[in-house]
Amino acid sequence: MRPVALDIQSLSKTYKAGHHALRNISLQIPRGEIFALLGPNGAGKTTLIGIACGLVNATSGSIHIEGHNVASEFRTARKLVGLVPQELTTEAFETVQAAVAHSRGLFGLQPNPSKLEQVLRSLALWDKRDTRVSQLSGGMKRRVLIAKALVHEPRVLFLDEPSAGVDVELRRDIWNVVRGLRDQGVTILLTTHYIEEAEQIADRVGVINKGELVLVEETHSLIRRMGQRQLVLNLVSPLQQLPAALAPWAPALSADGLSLRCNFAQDISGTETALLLQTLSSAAIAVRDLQTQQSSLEEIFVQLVRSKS
Amino acid sequence: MNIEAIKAIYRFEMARTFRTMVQSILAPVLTTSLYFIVFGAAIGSRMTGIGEVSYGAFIVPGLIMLSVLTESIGNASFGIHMPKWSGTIFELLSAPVSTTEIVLGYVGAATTKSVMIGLVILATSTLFVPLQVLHPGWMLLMLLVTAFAFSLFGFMLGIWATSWEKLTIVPSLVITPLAFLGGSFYSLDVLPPLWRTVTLFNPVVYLVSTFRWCFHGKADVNLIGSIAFIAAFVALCLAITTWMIRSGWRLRS
Ligand SMILES: Nc1ncnc2c1ncn2[C@@H]1O[C@H](COP(=O)(O)OP(=O)(O)OP(=O)(O)O)[C@@H](O)[C@H]1O
Ligand SMILES: [Mg+2]
Repeated sequence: MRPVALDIQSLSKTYKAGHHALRNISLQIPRGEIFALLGPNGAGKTTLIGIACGLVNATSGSIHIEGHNVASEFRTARKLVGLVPQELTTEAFETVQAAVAHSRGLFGLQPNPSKLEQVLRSLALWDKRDTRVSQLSGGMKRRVLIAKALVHEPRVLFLDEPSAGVDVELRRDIWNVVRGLRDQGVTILLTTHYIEEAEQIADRVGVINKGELVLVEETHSLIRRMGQRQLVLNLVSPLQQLPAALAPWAPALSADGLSLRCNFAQDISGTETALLLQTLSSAAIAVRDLQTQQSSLEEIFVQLVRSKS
Repeated sequence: MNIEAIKAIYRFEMARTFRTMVQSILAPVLTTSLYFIVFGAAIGSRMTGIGEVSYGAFIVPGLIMLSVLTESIGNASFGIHMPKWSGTIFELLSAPVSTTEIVLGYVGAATTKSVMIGLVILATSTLFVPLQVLHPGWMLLMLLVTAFAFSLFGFMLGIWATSWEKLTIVPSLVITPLAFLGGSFYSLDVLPPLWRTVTLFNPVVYLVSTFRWCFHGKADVNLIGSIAFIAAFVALCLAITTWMIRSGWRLRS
């Protein structure tokens, strides 16, 4: 078992206005894991990250980063943490280079020009190093924020919706950087609304809704467990009535009778498709073509959030 | 102690000062020159000197204090209120820095700027009046301590203020009147006894009076008392600032 890098115990947050943003959340993330936190707007994702990074005071419960309590041992804990916030907030008048170097200093590290160059290059900011941050485009500002979070070499990185409003190229750059960090043993917690992304990059996903952690599971096993596979069959001639032999697959017929949708559990063996086709041919139903569909994390997520609320 | 963080904050704040160097320096020089023209030349020529000191020379310490006070408060409060308002403060709040480092960085930079302005005004005033500084060492120390004390006060103000309006209300409603009635332009001896007593409740009186002693060797009030007052003021501001940063009052939600 890998050591726990981020340990959240019974964490609750009630804002002054009385809003319960987090309700008794417990979550352990092992070192070197990429964890995706999913949830609708207002679920409490940013609040959770805020408490871990010292921007929000917890109402009760605790967070430990690599064994250090973020409230009582804030100096040691925060040194280990990098944060890329959801909002694009950057100093306007500084140059890219100065802004990023400033972050390194704040975290107590001496200037290191080669580290600075490496971080700027990895985010395609090197050519812009002498540009004022205010003159950059939104995507470039996001790159600067990521560079600021990486330049002090954090062990735990929080990315709050890093791919919001970001083009394909930047998204690819971000994920390359994230994977590179993971390979160095950095633990990453990210939030995103692009569920395919979580599907591609995260080792585990957590779903948070109305301040409650409704599910934490390995990405692949979740899809396997919750995901449905469907076989859509396009027929040569319209079907009037569903043969009783198809009942195990809970078939649904389209209005024109030309398309038949059959459901499989995710763990079907290969023989089940053959069996279905056999059943069809013995019922004298001719198939023009067929396609399979798999439910994505997005659909699973919508289902989960609906069923819990 | 996170020395690198102090350096980073200090450098960042000083860069802001130097970006606006021309306004920062030119404005106080211009204001001071206007005061000298109006008070020193126009009114001062009708005034008799105070003691052996000419009126023009008499007002120099008060003028410097006036600028140092307003500049310290304005600059330090802006320095912390701006990131609070724009959201960039998230980085400071998430950094491994304690009250000491934050105060040394922000308040240190504001103090530096105020001392620079004080010295520039001093230099400007020599263009208008012949000036003597009897206790230059004490003068510099007073300048430094006052600039620090009011930069610290401004820093608190910047955290306290929840809007730009609130940020300017305390300086204009409290500090400016206190500064003007603090004996910058007159000796307390000229006041009727009742007003003289009232004036003694104005903390600025002690600053100006002590500062004037550094120049001319004469003070309206007790020197030790003044120093004790400034020390108490700094201690109070430090205590409040520490509490603000530790608890995250108006900084963390
Ligand atoms: N400073 C605050 N004061 C009061 N309520 C707040 C504050 N910040 C957030 N909230 C409330 O707490 C809840 C959770 O907000 P949070 O920002 O954590 O959600 P989120 O999951 O990050 O949403 P999004 O996907 O929109 O970013 C919301 O209902 C929000 O209105
Ligand atoms: Mg959010």
